[in-house]
Amino acid sequence: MNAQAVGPSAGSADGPPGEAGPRVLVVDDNEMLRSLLARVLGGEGFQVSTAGSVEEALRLDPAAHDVVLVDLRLGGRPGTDLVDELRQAEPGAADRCILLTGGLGLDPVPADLPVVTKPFTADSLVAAVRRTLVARRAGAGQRTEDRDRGTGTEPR
Amino acid sequence: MTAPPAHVLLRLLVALQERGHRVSAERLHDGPMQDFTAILLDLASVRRRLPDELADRVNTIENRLRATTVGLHQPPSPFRLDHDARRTLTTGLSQRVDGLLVDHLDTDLRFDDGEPTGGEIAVALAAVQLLLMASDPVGTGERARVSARCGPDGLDLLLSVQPSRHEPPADAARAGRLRPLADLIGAELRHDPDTGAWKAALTLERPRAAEPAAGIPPPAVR
Repeated sequence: MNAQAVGPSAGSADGPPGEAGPRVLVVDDNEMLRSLLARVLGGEGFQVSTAGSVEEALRLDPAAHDVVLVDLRLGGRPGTDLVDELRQAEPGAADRCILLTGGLGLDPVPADLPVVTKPFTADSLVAAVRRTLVARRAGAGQRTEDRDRGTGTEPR
Repeated sequence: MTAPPAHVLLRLLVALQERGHRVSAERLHDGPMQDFTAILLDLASVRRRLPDELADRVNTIENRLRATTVGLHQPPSPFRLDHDARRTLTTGLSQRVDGLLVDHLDTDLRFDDGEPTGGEIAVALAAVQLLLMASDPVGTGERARVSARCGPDGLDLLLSVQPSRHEPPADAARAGRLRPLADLIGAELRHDPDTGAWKAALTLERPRAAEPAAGIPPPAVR
C-alpha cells in the first residue's frame, strides 16, 4: 500500500496566510517520483496525497482534491482509467486532472486535458498545477453566475 | 488478386520496425525519463534552499538538462498520425530514409484520386528502404526522389536514385544487388549507364471487391 497523505504543509499555495493550501493528489507508480513530487509541491504550500495506482487513488477520494496529477503509465490500470472514473462520478470532475507522460505518442491522451511531459522541471509542474486551479476557479465562478442568472448549462 | 508473398514480407518488416520503435520508446519512458525527472525535482528542492545567485545557476542547469533530455524523445511513429496517408508516408520517409539512406530525399505524393491504405504505405516504405540498402549497403546515396500516385486501383511508386558521386557510374555490383531484390518484390528496374542513376517502379494493385484481402494487416496502431 503506497497511498499516503503528506501535509498539511507550512504556508498556503494560493490562499490567505495561515490557510491550508489546495489539495493535490499525485498518482505515479514510481515511488521515488511520488516522494519528490510530494516534497516539491509541499514546499509550495500544497497539501499533497500520493498513490501508486488507480485503485489506491480511488481510496483517497480524488474528487475531494483540487488537482489530480496522474501518470498515464501506471503498473496496472492506465492513468486514463482514473480520469474516466472521475468523469463517471461527475462529468466536470476531470477538469482537475493533469496527465503526466514520458513518451510522445506512446499512449493515447484525452484531448481535453493538460499534459506535462517527462522530464519536466519543478517550476513547470507547479505552473501547470496553478493554471489548473485558476481554470477551475474561473469555471466554478462562471457556473455560479449562470446559475444565479438562470442561464446555467449542464456540466461537461 | 492477392498480395504477393514478398509484399507480406515487406509489411512484416515495417511491423517489426514499429515494434522496435515502441519497445525503445517504452524503455526510454520507464528508465531514463523517470530518472531525469527525479533529478530535476531534486535539483529544484536544493535550489530553493540556496541564496539567489547560486539558485539562479542551478535553475539554469535545470533548464539545460531538461532541454537536453527532451531532445532524447523519439518522434511518434508515422503510423500513429491520425490515419493521414500523406503525413504517414512523408513522416516515414523522413524518419527512415532521409539522411539515413540518402543525403537528400524529395517526395512527390499525389493522392487526389485515392489514399493508400496503411498496408500499402508499409509496403512502399519498406520497398524504398530495402532498395536503397541494396544500392548502397554501407554509405548513403546522394539524392533520391520518391513519387507516389494513388488511385482506385492501387498505388504506383517510383523511386529515382542518384548514387554518391564517389561511386562509378556503371556499377555492376550495385546492379547485381538490386536485381534479385527487385525481382522478389516485383519492381521494374532501369539503369542509366552514363550517370549511374537508377529507377525502380512498383505497382501495388488492390484486390477486387469480391476477393478477400490476403496477408497481414498494416502495422498495429495501439
